[in-house]
Amino acid sequence: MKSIVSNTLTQEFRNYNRLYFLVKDLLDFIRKIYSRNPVNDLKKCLADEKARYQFVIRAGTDTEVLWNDGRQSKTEPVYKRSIEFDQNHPKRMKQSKDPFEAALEEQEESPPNSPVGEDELNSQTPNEPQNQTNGGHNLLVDDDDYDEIGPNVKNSSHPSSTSTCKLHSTIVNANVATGATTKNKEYDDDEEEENMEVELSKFPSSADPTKMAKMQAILSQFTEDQMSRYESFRRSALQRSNMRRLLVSITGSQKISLPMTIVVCGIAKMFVGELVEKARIVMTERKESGPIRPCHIREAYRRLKIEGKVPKRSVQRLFR
Amino acid sequence: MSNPSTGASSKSKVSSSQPSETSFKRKRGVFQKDLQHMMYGFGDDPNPLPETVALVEDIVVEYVTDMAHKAQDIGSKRGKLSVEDFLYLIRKDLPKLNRCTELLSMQEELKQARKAFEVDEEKLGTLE
Repeated sequence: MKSIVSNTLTQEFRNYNRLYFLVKDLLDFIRKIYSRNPVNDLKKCLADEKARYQFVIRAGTDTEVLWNDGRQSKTEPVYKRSIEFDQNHPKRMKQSKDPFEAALEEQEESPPNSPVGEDELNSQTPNEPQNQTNGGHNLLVDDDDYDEIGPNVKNSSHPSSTSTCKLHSTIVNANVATGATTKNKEYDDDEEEENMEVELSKFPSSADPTKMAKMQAILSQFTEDQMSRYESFRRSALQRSNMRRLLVSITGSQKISLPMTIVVCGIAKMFVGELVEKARIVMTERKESGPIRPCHIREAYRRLKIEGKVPKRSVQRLFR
Repeated sequence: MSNPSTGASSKSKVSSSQPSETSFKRKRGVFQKDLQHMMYGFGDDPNPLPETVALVEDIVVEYVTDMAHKAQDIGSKRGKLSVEDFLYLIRKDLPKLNRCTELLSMQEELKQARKAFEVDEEKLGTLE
């Protein structure tokens, strides 16, 4: 049987997620730049009375910021610093690359991923010795912050891969999917690997790291067959539009809210699960194998009724 | 109680319901595709038998119908039907109840995230 349903609310959400945090980081970065240099200084930079502009020269470990005065053909220094090679600072150990570029690379390769990572980011205080802003200097280049954003993002993306979506779009994943997605579009089937990645990050509905770790340990041991079945389990869902139509026709009222549809889809899916599992139990009792047959389902349904898991009709149905 | 079978197409099946204004016609195989995947996920063969799927669909529709009727009974006391009524119905069934609360909270989070995403986009726009 071909794989699965689309879903991808998860997919879509992941993209939203990445974009969202990327944008957020960019905004934070921009804000930091502008907050460091109060607007007055910025204005003084941009609207210099002598119509000069600033430029930065970096040669090796020396950095200079200067005013350039075109009319006088002479430069006026604003800021100058040489980077001391600090043996103790971990980042400085790899001095080979321009830290700005290094940070840029790191940020590009691991897009910010999780709310957890994002918090770490915000709580970081600048610790780079380079480019300190001294009061009177009008620095426009802010390598520090960029640098610290980069590696932090990288660090945070490790746990984030698992904690990203507490936003279980399982629903999305269509597994239990009935819920969250508001859209019901069919997407292309994902690769199995991608599903695994997506599902691994889906776990923490409880956001509990021990549970996550357990889940991951279990998942890593799955055979391919088991994995495909598990994927079907997670990603399948009853279509919300169909469910909504059914509910409207049952209740006769047009006002079926989205949460209601989501809940009913979830309940129905679990009910199907109970049915199928009980049918399998019935089959093993009868020592039969192969696909489940209607007689097994009927027996399972009868047992569920006895257990009281099926709502009893107040009026008996005479004609079916 | 069951609605008289209207002479509809051979594919439609009339299910009993409360005497509502319109007779309720239900085509077979509304949930068929999804149910196949679902049953495989829960333990059936990768290709479940079509009659099994049809039977499961019937059972599920009946289940949802009964639940909806009961929820309506409860909801009518309060005025209108709401999610709370369904949650009340499954209160005894802990796995279902937990699952539903989880689904609802996740939906809230997704909504917040989407809203925040749009807000950020606006900010980005105004910053430029």
